[in-house]
This record gives sequence, structure tokens and C-alpha cells, in this order.
Amino acid sequence: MASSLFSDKFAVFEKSLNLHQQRLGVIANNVANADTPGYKAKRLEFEDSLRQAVSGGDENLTMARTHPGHMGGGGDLSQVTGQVREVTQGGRVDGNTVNTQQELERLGETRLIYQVVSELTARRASGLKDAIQSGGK
Amino acid sequence: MDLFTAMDVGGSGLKAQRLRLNLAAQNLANANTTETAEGGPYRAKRAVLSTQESGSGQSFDQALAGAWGGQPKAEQVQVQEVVESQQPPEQVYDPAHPDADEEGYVTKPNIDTVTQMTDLMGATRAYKANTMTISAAREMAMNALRIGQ
Repeated sequence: MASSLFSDKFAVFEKSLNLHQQRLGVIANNVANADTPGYKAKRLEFEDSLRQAVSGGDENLTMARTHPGHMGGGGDLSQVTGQVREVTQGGRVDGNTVNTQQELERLGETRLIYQVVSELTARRASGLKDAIQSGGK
Repeated sequence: MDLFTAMDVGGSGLKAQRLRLNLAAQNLANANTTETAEGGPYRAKRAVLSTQESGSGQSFDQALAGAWGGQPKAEQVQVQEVVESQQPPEQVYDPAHPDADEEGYVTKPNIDTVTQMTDLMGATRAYKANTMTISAAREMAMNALRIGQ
């Protein structure tokens, strides 16, 4: 595989940051509407499609890439979007299905993953910067 | 939905919960008010919340982000209306009271202190949960800014 200096790692990081940012938005919606009668909690799901895109499709059925111009076996990162799913089970009497405790757990998880991915991105970027700066000396 | 929109949604939650808190405080303060400007005793008030989806009276940016497709919509909470409780008022026998009727009964407000206190606690907790989403959005924005350093 032809790996360039600015490889597609950055694209994966960007996608992950973007999706986690959207997930935070969905959590903010749920928390803000925790007392709205009839409101259904929502979840943003993207892990499976992101994993498939990164690993180039189904792990057992990876297509061979003999040329850098070839497309991966079904894994196109730009096609990965989050799917919004409504939670309809386990609601209160007023039809609201938000569980604030659970939302705050997800919030903690999301901010932690975001922190990790942004840290990884920053380190990779600073590694590249080092390579660029010391290369000419 | 970007981080600033998430903060806006959290802000709408803070606003709604603050109003709930104000109403609970107002109800508790008026637990013994027998005369109001409208006449009769004070009646318990409560807020009815509803969801305001992006696109309905929101900024262009938010409407565009909502219509972009694939992206989850911002769903701000708003106070739809403040309704008066329909619970019948309490009748207390107190002939010396200036608002007592001919039989000596005073019509007291229909305020249940326990209900108001639980509402107060619920509003406080919900307020705090919204501040947590806002601070998470802020922290994530700071993390993203650190990438370029």
C-alpha cells in the first residue's frame, strides 16, 4: 500500500471527531428534553460502519488492492454517517424515554474518546512537523 | 450539529429549567396567598415544556444544518406555556381571617409543598445535567483547538 506522508489516518481521525461531536449534540438534545412530555431519546450509531470503512469492509471478505487507485472493499470513509435511532422502550408515564443518568454516562464516554482522538491527531501532526523541520538540516 | 449548536441546546435546557425553578419558588412563596389581582386565592403554576426543532424560528445556520441531511437535528427545549393547576383549592376554617366567607371558611391556595419541593429538586438536577453537556462541549472544543499547536 502506498503510504504517503499525509496518509488517510487524518481522514479517519477527522471522521471520528466529527461523529463524536454529532453524538454530543444528540446527547445535549436528550438532556435538554428530559422533561418534555412525549419526547423520545435518540442515539447516534456509527461504530460499525466506521469500523467497516477503516478495515476496508468485512474483515473476512477484504478485497485485494493491487493499485493505490483501487477502491477499498466496500469501505469508503466519506460515506460513513451516523444513524439516528429513537429509543421507544422503557419510557415514563408521560411518554418520555430519556434517562438522564444514562445520557451523562454517554456524555462522559464521548468527551473521553474525543479527547483521545484529538490527542492522537495532535501528536501525529506534531510528528510530521518535526519531520518537516529537521529534514532540511 | 456542531459544538456551538450543542451548547445552544444546553442553554435552552438551562433556560427552561430556570423557569421551572422560578415557578416552584413562586408557588412556595405564595403557599398562603389568599388575595390576588385576578381575585380569589393564588393558584399553583407549572411549566409545560416542548421541543423546538431546528428550522422553526431558528437561525439560518441551524436551519441549514438541520436540512443538510444525515446530520442529527438540534432539538432545543422551550417553555410552551405556563398553566395553572386545576386541583381544587383547600378550605380551612378560620373565622378571624379577613378573607373568610360567611361560614368562616378561608379558601387557601392549592399548593402541595411536597410536590413543589420535588419539582424544585428535579429542576435543580436537570439544570446541572445541562451545565454538564455545555462544559463537555466546551472541553471538546478546547481539545480540538489543541490539535493545531
